[in-house]
Amino acid sequence: MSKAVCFMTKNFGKYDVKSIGSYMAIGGFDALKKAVNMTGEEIAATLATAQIKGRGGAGYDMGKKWSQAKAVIADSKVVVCNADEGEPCTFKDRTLIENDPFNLIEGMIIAGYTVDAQNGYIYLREEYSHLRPLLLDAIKQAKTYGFLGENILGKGFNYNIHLYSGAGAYVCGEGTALVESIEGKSGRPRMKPPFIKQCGLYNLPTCVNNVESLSLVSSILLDDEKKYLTYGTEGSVGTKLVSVAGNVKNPGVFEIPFGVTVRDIVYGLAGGIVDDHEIKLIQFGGASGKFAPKSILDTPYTYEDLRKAGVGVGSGAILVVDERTSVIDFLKTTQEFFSHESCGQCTPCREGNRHIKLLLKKVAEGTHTALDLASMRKIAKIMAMSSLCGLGETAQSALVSAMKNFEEDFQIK
Amino acid sequence: MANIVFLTVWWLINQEMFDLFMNKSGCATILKIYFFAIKTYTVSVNLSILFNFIIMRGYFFIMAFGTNDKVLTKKLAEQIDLILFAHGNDGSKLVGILLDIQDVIPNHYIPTEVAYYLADKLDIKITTIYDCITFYSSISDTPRAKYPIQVCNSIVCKINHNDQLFETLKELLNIDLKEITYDGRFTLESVPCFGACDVAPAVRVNGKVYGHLTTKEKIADMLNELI
Repeated sequence: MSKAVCFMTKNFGKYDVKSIGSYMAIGGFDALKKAVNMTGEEIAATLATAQIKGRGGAGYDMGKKWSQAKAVIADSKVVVCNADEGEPCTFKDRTLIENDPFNLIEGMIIAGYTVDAQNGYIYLREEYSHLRPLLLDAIKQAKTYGFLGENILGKGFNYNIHLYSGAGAYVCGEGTALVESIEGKSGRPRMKPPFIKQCGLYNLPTCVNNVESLSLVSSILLDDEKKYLTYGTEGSVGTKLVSVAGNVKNPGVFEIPFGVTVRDIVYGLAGGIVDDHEIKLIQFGGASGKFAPKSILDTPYTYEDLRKAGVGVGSGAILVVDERTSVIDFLKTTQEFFSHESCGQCTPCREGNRHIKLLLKKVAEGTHTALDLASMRKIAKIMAMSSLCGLGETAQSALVSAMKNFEEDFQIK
Repeated sequence: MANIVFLTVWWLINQEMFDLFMNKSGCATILKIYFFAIKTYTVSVNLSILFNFIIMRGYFFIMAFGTNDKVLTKKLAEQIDLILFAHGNDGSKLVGILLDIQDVIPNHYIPTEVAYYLADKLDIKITTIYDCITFYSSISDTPRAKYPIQVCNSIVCKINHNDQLFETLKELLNIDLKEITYDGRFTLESVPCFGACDVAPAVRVNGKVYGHLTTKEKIADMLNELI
């Protein structure tokens, strides 16, 4: 039987994504109507009760983020929706926008209302340019129906949503690089502090949220029976979208309650491995995530259990790789990706990625020495400690977990 | 050229008049100040016109004498103006503007003339524009083909055998990576993940994704669909 649930994805296929009327017919914008009768603190408290963690990868408490954003004193604030999911094997945001664009718009309006923002920006990656017309149309229709613009729902709240496009830079998924890119510059991360919650886009306090986090908001607000709290485990409440791909029979996006085992996801929802091969490794959270051997199959998919097993939820990607691919080949491809995507601004990331690439080539050829392995460990550590942004900090997490879990592949010949 | 001659003559005449009033006629101090102001004004206006002439119109020279291939035709300039208008002539929307312009140019790139034209129109530095063009991998400053075939090189497509996809495409099109077919129709590019992992191995052509390209027949069908 299927372990998938429909909480966040309840609208999928239920309405015509091109028409706001059909969205309102199934209860669309009810959450917004409810929200404007609450205060921002109440909305943030509701999210805090549901213990929603940001779904972009960092997992920051969303209720806390919104109440902090609300507390910042400024004349003007902005909300940014990060739709730049560049992690390989992550495609949940694409599914959400394709199937439920109005829900995202509604979530953004509620976010704007909660933190007292005047403008919302959706940063859509260039790779999803085919979704641009859909979102632009959704924004236009919301404006016609008075959910955007001046004096929304007669509450004196003015808010507009703008759609900006990325241009194929993975690093722009990082908050400060993203705001640089919206400002029309190249997307190189800024120094922190100041954090973007105080000084972000156009030097205004900025509240950045992932598509999935924003898509959850309206369902949570309308969830009077606290159904959401019944999903999941004590430490990880609720549901999560996972995108499963790789050597599985049925790749795709599934909404799962926290607590189902990895085996349920890989063999139950994704249909098992193509041609019944053996699993070599499973990577969690995209290219910047760690990976684990087959033994992780019986671990429950929760924040705390995965952390205990040495991996993390991250963006929700689950990449299943079977025995036909070697660990070193896998790492080489991942390293190619990071070497290409490093923006080159800070030395640890730029040079570190370059050297790890060269050292991995040596390992693949089998000409490496103990000194090379020690250098790899050292470079990975330096990158994680001293890079300017999350890209450099997490670029080597796959390598580090490989050196721990698959020592035999690094054996000196 | 005529402009430069005209400006020089104009400046000389001003100089002459200034000398005349300042030294020979010996008029009152107030008049001297007045004429000094006029002189400074005309000189600065002349200089700014000259600078405009040299810098801002530089791309017209490139068009007229630099090369025979005029990329920035009147029609394209009109199209660009429309795109700029749609973005509110706002320099902060540069990334989106560049992408939109790249879409209307047949070879999907940003030619030099266009970059200078944008710098002029949006009043931003040419270096800022080239910073963006060279930073973002979706924006190109070299001509591409009519149908750039972007093959995903990331891990999910890799473990679903994108190497076979690469080889078959190279064989069918008779080109190597980054090369353009003789008719200028196709080019092969290797790009990072574009979020089509559920249909891996996949390619993306002008924004449209084609997935499950596991056999030669499927790949040939995809190419035929483009033609």
